[in-house]
Amino acid sequence: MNSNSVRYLRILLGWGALALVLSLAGAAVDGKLSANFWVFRCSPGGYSDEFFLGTCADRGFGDYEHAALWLDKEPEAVANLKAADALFIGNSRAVIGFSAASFRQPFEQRGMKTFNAAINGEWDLFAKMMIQKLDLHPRLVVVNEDYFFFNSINLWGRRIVSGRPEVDLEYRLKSMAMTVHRRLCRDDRNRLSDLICGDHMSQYRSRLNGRALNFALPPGQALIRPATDQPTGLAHIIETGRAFKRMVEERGGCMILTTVPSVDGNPEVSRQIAAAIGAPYVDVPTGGYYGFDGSHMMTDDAERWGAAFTERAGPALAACGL
Amino acid sequence: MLFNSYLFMLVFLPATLGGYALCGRLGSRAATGWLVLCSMVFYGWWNLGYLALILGSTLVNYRLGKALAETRSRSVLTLGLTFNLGILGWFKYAGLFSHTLASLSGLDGLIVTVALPLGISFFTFQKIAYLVDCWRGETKPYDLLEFSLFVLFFPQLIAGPIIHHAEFLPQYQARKPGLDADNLSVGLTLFIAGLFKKVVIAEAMARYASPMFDGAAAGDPISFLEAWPCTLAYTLQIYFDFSGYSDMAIGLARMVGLRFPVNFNSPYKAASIIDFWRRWHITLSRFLRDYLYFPLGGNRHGEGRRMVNLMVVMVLGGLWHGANWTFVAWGGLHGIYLMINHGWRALIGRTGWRMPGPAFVPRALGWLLTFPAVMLAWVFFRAASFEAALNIFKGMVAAKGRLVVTPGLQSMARLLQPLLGPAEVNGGQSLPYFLGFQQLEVTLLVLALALVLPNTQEWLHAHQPALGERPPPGRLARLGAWSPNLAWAMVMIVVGCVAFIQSMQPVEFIYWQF
Repeated sequence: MNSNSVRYLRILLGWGALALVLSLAGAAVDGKLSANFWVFRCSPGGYSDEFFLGTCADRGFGDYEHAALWLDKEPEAVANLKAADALFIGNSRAVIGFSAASFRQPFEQRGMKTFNAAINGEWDLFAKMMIQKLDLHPRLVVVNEDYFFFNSINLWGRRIVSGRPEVDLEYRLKSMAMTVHRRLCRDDRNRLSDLICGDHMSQYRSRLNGRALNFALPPGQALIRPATDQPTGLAHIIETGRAFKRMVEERGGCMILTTVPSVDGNPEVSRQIAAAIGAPYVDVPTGGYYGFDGSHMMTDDAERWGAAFTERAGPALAACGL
Repeated sequence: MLFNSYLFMLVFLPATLGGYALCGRLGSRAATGWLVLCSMVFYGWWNLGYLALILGSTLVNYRLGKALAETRSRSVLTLGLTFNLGILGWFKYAGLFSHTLASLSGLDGLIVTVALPLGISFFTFQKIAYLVDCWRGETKPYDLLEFSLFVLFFPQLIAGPIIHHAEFLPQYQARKPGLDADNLSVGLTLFIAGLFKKVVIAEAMARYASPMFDGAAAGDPISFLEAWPCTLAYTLQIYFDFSGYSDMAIGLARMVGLRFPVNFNSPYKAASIIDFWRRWHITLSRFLRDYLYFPLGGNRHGEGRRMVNLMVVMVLGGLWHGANWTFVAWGGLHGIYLMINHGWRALIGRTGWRMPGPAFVPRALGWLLTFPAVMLAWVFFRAASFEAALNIFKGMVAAKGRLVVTPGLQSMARLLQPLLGPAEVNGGQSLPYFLGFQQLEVTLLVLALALVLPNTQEWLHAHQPALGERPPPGRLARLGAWSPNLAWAMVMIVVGCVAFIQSMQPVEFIYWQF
């Protein structure tokens, strides 16, 4: 029995290892197995002196934008965030909507320096903690009222704020990997690049003003249909929103709300929330916009929405003394 | 670290086995120390803070066990149970109860958010069993290193099987340290088979099931043609995922010469709910029976009390699976099933009634009742909320507007018409969670695998892969019984390569949906 087992193990491990190597090579060649992994899976198109990779749609890599600000991995971005007069916060829909040049126009016309600190998949608590940690004193905070005020923080954010040394190490590694990614997959391509570099969805963020650039978005588009139902926990949202507004005011700022087109947000409820919180609301119609996934606006639509915001922002800005 | 991660398969496992072989030459304690160290790395890889928690808890339980063995003090036992259940309660249930309390009282400030340490439900039960047995005087003296290995041993640490000290520690003490070719070949075969079940079969089923359950949670109305096939896919996913993981755990333990108890015995072949619970997550059922059902009185105080005890055990068993009221509903539903099944058996026993006809007929009828009942209960287990579960049930009963087909599926609608009435043809739009006949074919093929083929324990029956007496294998298992020969090595190479490549597939990071 023992000699049979030894022979079995020799075949299984010896020939098995060879078969595995051949299978992996075969699978990679005929496309069954992607040789792209981690950051190398994502489109390298956005790197520049101004932009860093904020999010890579690969679960292993995922988020970097939290760490860029919270762990000071992008010192230039943090410096510009601290210097901003107008701070934009919200979720992934705000990342795109608040990145439109037309959206920044009313603030820039008033000589204000802006920074889009909206984070994908994030709620209010990370923004609140970031304002406190970095001791930000913006004159104006614009919030995408996609309900948002849940007094919550997402899983990526939770890890980032945990203060655990391994998290810092992980993001240091991610930061270094971006340098390799940029060189190997874009600036200095070689044969290895053809094998390991992919062109998967990714999002770059500006160190100057936090605006986002999207790369390799999925093809196709669908109309964004705003929600019509009532959210649960409305009282909690309003209460948390009031506390957030108080915090902004205590820091010498003013908070205004608006709603980027969203499949989760009911514009009527957003108006009610803004009124209950007592914050000026820029009421931009949310119908008629298209998203690449039916939920997040295409770049052109974001510009169109931004222009509509600009047209309507005057009274809210005036209410904030701007 | 998960068993199906490259880090585990390519680095951790070879290093652990290599180190164990080397340490085995230095003696038993060195080998034990090495396994404890590797298990700490395995657990700490996920979160160093929680490694401190499990180490601290191990130390406290060891001291309590010693004190209990010496004094048999009921107050020390109470202290130990409170300590373990307190840790489990805080980490696993504080969030659930605080959310419930907050929603009832309207006080959001009561909400507590606590991250769940991996495997806490499993290792808490293990320690509770140990303390109770110390109090009963049913344990032998073990040293701290051996006890630490019993708690921390990596194959069972995260998802079981729930190992009893009496089947682990004496076995460990009696083993020959170092590696052995027989054990390695059986263990490696089990590991590869489990990996295939988990990453190939369960993942294939998840691709059908998960979008439907996510859609139901998001409020998309689930249609008849989506609800049934996707729930069936989930039914198969959870079996192949969990039993695959158990096979991998049993295989890993066997590589170092230890036998774990069997955890699954083809549960979907069960012809009654009682039989199902003797085949599904066997080590949990055993724990609940020995440490909850029997102490509650079992069936010793009449039929009424037995039914109450069954219900209590199943509801708590449901809650053990997850901190959500949907798990309580799942457990409660199984409790009701069990009460009906025991009631039926009692009635049959009293009247002596036998179903006429061939012997397979009652078995087939039993299966036809049992399998759909189990499947329906899984809806509660997987659904994110009661609303999502209700949404799926509405699809299952073809509620108004839920019997929808695409033009390509009109032939299927005609088949269903005598049963459910005319279907609405959804012109131009697809059913997003039903991929048509190909989905049905694949799912039914996987169901056939679960119902017809012998399980891994039966294939390897001659080599006693797990602890416990099993009935002799059927003809099919005897015909294709595993043995360490060239043919099986080739089969396992193919199976292993497919599973390994599948486990290397990149996984989407879906963040856009927030």
